[in-house]
Amino acid sequence: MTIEAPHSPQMDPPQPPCEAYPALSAYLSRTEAAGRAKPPGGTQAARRADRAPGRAPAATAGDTGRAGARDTGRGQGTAQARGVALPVRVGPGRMRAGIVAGAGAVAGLWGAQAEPSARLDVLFATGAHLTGLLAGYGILVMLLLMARVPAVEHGVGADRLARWHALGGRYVLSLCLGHALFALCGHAAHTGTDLLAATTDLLGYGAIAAATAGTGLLVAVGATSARAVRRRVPHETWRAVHLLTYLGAALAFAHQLVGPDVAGHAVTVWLWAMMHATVAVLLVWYRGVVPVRQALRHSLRVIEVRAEGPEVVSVLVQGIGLDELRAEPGQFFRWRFLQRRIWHTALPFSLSAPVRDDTLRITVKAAGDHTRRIRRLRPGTRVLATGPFGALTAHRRTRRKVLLLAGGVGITPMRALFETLPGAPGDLTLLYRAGDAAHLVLRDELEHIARTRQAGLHYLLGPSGAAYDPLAPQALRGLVPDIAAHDVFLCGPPRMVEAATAALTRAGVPAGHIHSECFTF
Amino acid sequence: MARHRRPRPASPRPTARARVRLAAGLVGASALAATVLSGTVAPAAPAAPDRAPSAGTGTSDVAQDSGD
Repeated sequence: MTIEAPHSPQMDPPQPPCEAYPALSAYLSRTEAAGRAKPPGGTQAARRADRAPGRAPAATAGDTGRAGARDTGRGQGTAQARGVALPVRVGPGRMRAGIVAGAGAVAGLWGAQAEPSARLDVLFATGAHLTGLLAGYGILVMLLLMARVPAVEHGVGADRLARWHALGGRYVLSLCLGHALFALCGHAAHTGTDLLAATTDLLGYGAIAAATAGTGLLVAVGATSARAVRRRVPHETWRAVHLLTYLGAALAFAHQLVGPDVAGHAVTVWLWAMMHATVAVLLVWYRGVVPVRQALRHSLRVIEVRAEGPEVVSVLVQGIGLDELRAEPGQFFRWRFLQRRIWHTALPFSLSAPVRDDTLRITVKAAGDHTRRIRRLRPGTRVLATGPFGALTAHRRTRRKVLLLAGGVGITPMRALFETLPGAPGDLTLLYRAGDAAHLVLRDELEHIARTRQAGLHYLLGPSGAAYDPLAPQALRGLVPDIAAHDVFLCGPPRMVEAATAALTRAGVPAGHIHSECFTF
Repeated sequence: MARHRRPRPASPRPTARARVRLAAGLVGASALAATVLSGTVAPAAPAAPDRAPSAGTGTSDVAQDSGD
């Protein structure tokens, strides 16, 4: 089975309902309204250019725009008539606001019950209550970020969630340790004993002993996640230790229910338990039940491993009913290949082509032991793929013109988007950065897509750090003169993404129009 | 590799109703778990210094009217 870009000269990229692209629709509505309000001296070509991206790239821009507008209306009505559910996405702003609001509510719960006092034991106890409440809430937030809830994964993005989790984990661990210290000092001051006697006294309470053990596990998790340690520890070891977070959170739960701020009223006890139960149910469902259900339902198996270039292979995986996965171009799965020496690790790889004929394709570069072993996969090997994940999809689009900027193996999600993003001739441009021509991957497919869709395609070759930087702002403006009017989708090695983002900003692209996803997390 | 399964018809996208059912199921399971936990988990804990009455004599931070 071969997945190739269609050879028909009138390739028809998929047209999802317009309401799937609310930001783009809003922009196009504004520009259409502005176009209608303009004096009649405006050119017809300019008015046509502002229409929605059309169905057939080979058609004229005017026909394209009118067809696109008609399809938009029909698509909306049809989707609503069928009761089809559009993807739900919780954006990063909303997620952040929700987390902050929750922290505010928890702090408010403490503030409503705190009693001012100058006594040392009371001061320590008050500090212990606040840090304890925030630590308990923080642990729930950290778990929720990693629960793989689709609305959150597709809206915020897996890499951003991982960054928030890593950053938040440090604060949560500090709150846990601060809470333990304040509680110990408060108890010692209250009972008039030393710290050692107070420790022995507190550990006599089962729930507190369990919470202490839980804190110890969280400290171990934090220690192995420190950058200096993580570099030296195998990924599987780090992951096994990290799973202890669940046990640590469970051990700490019981003592939270009897904390004075929570235990004061039956409603607050139930609500605190409800928060924990909700996160636990989401974890069990999305990290346990859904992957097993997907594996049983879709029966994925490797059908072909094809060399694409030096150290790069494409793996084709076939299954049953894969349209149910609703994988969008730009997204990735976490892949576990059930073959000896490779089954114990699941790694994220993007789809390098849209899902067709119940077949998924990934394109993998050998960068370590695991990815090298992927080249030796045998056809027929069972595959467990959880997902799809990722927010680098067409829904982020806010402009008619799109620039796709890929570096190295970051071309894989960009190739899928290059083929499927709706657009009229001239709307799409792909810039592909690589060390030299030998390292270009999927070149034939990219050139075919560019010819068929009348899209721009430029290879930016040369070693990084050379005197001429093809990603410098003036170089980018030279290749794409109206770059500031583009949405930019960016994928590549972290340093390239960082440098390209800075260059794009200096070239005039607003930060909100630069969309990227980093896979080193 | 030969596949001998009957081809399935194209799967429809999930309806909004299915999504609501899933959400209701997850919320219901959480509520049930929360009720069980809040009703059964009640371990012993030391008195909180900032909530318990002051221990011993002469340590109250509130002036007491002995009424003598």
